[in-house]
Amino acid sequence: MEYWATIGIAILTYAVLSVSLNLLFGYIGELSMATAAFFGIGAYTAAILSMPPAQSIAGLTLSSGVSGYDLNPWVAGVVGVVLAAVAALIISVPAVARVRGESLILLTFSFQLVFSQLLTSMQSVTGGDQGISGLKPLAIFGHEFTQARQAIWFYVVLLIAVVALGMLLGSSPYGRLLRGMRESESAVLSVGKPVIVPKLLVFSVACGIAGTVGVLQSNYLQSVAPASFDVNVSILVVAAVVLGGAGNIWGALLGSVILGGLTPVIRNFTADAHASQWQAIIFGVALFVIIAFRPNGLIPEGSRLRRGRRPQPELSEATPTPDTAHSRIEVTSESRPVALAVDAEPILVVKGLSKRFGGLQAVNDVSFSLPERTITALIGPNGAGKTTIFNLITRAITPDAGSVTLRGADISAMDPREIAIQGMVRSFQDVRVFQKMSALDNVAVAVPQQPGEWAWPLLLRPVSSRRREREVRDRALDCLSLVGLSKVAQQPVGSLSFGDQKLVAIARLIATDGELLLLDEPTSGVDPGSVEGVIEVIQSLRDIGKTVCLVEHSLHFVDKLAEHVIFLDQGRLTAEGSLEELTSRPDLVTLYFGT
Amino acid sequence: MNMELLEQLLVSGIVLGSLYAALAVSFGIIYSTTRVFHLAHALVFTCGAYAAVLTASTFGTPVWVAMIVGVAASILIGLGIQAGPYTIVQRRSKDPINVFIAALAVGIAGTALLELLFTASNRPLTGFPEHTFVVGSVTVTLVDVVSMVVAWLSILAVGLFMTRTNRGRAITAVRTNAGMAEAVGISKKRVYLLVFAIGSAIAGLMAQFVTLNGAATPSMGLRYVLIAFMAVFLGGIGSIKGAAVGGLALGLITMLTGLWVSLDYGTAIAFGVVIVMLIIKPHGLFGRAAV
Repeated sequence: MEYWATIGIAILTYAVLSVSLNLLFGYIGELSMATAAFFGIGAYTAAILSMPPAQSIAGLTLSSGVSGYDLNPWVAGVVGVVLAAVAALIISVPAVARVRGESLILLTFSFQLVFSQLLTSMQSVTGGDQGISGLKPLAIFGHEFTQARQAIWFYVVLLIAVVALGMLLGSSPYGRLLRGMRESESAVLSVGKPVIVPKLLVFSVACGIAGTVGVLQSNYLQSVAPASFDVNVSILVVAAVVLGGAGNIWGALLGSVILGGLTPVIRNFTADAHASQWQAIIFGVALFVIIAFRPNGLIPEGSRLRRGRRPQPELSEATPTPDTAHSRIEVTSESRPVALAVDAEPILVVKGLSKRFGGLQAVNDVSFSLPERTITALIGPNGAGKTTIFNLITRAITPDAGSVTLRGADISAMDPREIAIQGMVRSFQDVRVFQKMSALDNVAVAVPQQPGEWAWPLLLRPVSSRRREREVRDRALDCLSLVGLSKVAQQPVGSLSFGDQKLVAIARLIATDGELLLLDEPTSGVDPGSVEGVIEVIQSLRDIGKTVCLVEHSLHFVDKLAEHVIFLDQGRLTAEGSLEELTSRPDLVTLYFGT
Repeated sequence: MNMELLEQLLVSGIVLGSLYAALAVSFGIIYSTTRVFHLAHALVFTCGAYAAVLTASTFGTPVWVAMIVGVAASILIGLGIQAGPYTIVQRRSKDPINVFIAALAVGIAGTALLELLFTASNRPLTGFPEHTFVVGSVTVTLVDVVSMVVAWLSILAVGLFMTRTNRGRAITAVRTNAGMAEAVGISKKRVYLLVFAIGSAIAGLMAQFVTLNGAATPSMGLRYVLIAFMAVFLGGIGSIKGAAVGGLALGLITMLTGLWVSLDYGTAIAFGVVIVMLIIKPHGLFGRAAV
């Protein structure tokens, strides 16, 4: 019994650590190589703070010479968890806030190494290689739990709490935002949603959880030693998550059952001294086989278990949609653009915009304004600077000079997210939809004012968050039906045609409530049959009061849509007017089509 | 301030920094070209050390023969890892994190295998002439001097190779735009193998000096390789000069820490410097933001 309980505790320890890493790897796609270090910070802090001060009896110092602070173990535990979370925050700031890619791996890996080194070298604080022993046992109101079969219940409770947190996160707007970030940070920013704070929060929560298991372990074992918190443990936890399947709590659990369960099995077959080596070899091989041949793990994200867990019948039935026949929006017979309303108030005014890339003057002193509720097209040969202008006015790139005013307010100093919140949102030439998420979730990410996408309201005001979430989903479905895609709301966007993906991107823009939509080549790569559908959708945008500015190559498309055309060549604004006016100028025709 | 200590630590810092610089260049050329977070570089490093130790102890060869065998073993292992496991994963998935996980798998399994074969105990490499130079208050060993010279010669060689030869320029082409490079007839596969060969050779070379100064152990490589990673990030990805300067800086910081606190804290302080640097200059000292 005690033997099985010990194995159970090993499995549960890995399970909590894997679920915590999975929050990070699964939801935001970042890998931490320092799980064991944060686990260790919790354990060592709790141990050192709750130890009695060093006592000398007849000149001999007891308990490895480590001097403690004799704090209440619960207080010490809380401090341990907080320290783990704070340390995580510090480590992750450069990775999350400034540099991308593998830097979090590097920073966490190095942190792990430094942590292990400090544990052994700071002899007087940590007890060096021997660690610290002789801690007070795990106790509640004086009742002690020293046996594995008693202590295991603490682990069970912790695991249930952590799994519940993970599931809440997974099904919440917060989780949706995180998954969106995992696929495209720039797209999340472009619809006015935050990226840095949610990431930092997830990282510190995940590491705080690792610290919590550490606290529990030091109290249960009544000792801490550096070997439990070294880099190999971190690697094994990564292995458990990858084996089981990232982005999926059940996968992480399966991975840790294999991980925790395999060790005793190996011990039965090999000499004890070689067990950890065989474990590493088996895991190394298994990890490689999985990543090479089944990279989504044994239980991939979004497989049966997940769907069974949260059925959503109300979506397809309860809300009636205007496009039940899956037809695109009805368009009035008047499909030709009306003449430009000259006195229309300009919504956006751009003055003197310039940008130089090395030796290339990409945009050169461009000034224009966009009249409200009209469709403007930016046209011009390749390299004219059309997309660069989008990047400059949304501040994806910093201009060298120039000012941008949106509805009279200067937005030149804002960042892309603030600009999106102000009402100017853009799409991307390469769509940047969230491929693995459903069409509905893609659009729902963009709906503004969702309390549930912040951690505190999600936890503290669950009822109102949930009510708002229903509204958000209805709104997202409305936006999808506006582009004629409500039928495929539940399908992962990656499975839709490219044309439909572009429409999902447009629906995502509509959902932001932005007034000014910048569309970067909405029809490029779309098959000719679907182009008419895109045209109808964009016309309907004007009808619902939006202002549209698009970059487009197809003159047919521009002719059908745009009242106002801006012609760019080599970074300069060459001409402006209706398409008819521009095409009547032979010099422009030559520029555009060549001779 | 203790001037004698300062002088000694400066010299030791330059010796250590040269080692780090060469390792950073060896890792950097692989990472910036292939985008593989080549953690198994640690295994390549360690295998080079073991190959030399085993050659010397089994066949009784002169130490320099053993060292050459060691470098050759590193090159073979490095090429094998790229041609085998990495290529298998790269063929199926574009996500660099998947190749990193493959690297992790190769790294832990390989290290454990070394432990099973040779136990975790220290295996020294002996026979290198023991000579110590004393200049004023500073002492430096012959091994250190040779290691420093070899380190900077390899860095110089890589630099010249990259800028003066067609194959070197092909590497730069693949690094900056792999698709376009393939379109003009450069074989990405060959370039990848080439950078793995160059990187592994330098790693194997430096492993010899680390072993001469200490001993081979199965897990010796990880620490050095992680420091090399840090140096690359510190200097800026894609820049040989950056990697070399980053490595030298980390070595100096690690050693100069000894002026104030125990050298045990050197790596921790160097790590702190890297974190601060990454906040101030996210693209490193010599790196440029991708446009």
